[in-house]
Amino acid sequence: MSHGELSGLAAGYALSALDPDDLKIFEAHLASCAECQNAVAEMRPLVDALSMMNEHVEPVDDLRDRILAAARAEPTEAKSTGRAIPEKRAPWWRRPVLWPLPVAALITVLVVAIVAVSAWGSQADSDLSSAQRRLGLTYDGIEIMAQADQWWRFEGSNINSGLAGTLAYSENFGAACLLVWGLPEDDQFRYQARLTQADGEVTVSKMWRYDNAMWLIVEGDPNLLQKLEVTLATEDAPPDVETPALIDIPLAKS
Amino acid sequence: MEDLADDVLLQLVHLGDERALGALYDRHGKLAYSLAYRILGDIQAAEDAVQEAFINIWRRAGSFSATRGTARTWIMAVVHHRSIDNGRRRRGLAPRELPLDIAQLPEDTQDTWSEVSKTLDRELLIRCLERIPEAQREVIQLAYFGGYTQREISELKGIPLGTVKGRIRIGMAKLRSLLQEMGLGGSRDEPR
Repeated sequence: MSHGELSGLAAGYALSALDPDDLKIFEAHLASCAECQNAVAEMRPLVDALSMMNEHVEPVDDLRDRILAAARAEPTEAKSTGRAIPEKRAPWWRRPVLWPLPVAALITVLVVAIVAVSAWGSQADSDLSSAQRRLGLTYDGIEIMAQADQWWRFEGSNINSGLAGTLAYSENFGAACLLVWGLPEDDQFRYQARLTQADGEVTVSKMWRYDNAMWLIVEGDPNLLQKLEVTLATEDAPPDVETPALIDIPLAKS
Repeated sequence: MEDLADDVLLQLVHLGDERALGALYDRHGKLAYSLAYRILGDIQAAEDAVQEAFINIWRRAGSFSATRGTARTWIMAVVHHRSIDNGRRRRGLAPRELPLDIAQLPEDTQDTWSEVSKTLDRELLIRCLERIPEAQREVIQLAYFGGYTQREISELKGIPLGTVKGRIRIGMAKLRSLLQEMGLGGSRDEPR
């Protein structure tokens, strides 16, 4: 099939209307053809528009409850990989610290702007309790997000454009949660957070990874920060204030 | 939860947070149900399709990537595919493998429509579709809402397969052009 014939299949592909043979051929081609990838991408909002061209019909009231009940009986991907979901617990700031935080503390204080560098490398999921601890931490982050007053959205920097994330600050908790996803799931990677501020009122209290996502809890108001960065470190290259940022979140009001 | 963006909610769903799934349903359930009802034409079948689709989302939320498209597009694609599958089964047609095309797309294909499409007006969209020649509109509707493949449409309508492919291709191009004329979306090359 010529490229012209193949590219003519893009609209049918976007509409999910290709026959099995054409689908197989087109998908094989699509994997390596930027032009056809763009053609399909251009069709996407049209298909999105088609999905809205319907009379609005109200679903029955109990459909939501039925969906949630069915979900409760189903394992999610996380559950199916053996990570148990614990009972909801008291928030982390009301609990004693039961596990060592590898790098929760201040490591480096720089004279001018860089106040703290903390890092928590990815750790292999060697046992269930480790996974449960991280899931528990994740719920702490979710609680902050659920009651957040302020949000920042961002994309990865130009050295890792596949990342995306969000930073949520809850005045009630006096803490912020940073969630970044799209990270490579490779246990050899270690991440560090770099906070730039005029004084030391804001610190990173916890930082952990869960699958391809990295979570971080900032104690204090992130509005006091000039910026928050996440960088990559390796065993051979320890945390460094000069390391380029994977994610750079400018927060300064000025 | 209601303040969280869709892609954040999907991350939470991936971790097993039911509240996040409920929030996604509150936001998209009506649209999802309307689409399923349009495809299946039956209340009970539409409910089943939406329920199955949201359970799929519950199971597979981790496979969503915000860098490849909007969460709503992904959710509606899941609902569409489930409805099409169920509809084909009801009509005695073989089930089809329906890929989520967003998984294939490059990461930098966010286009100028992504924000605009969130606020598309349904009546305006319908008027755009009505301006497409009947023959092209019919094959697009049979493909998207009927769940027919191009070959099946060719057999159903008694027209050559090449004609079906051409009508779909030209019809979609025309729809895009009409939406642009009405100020919805624009060239992907334009700055945001």
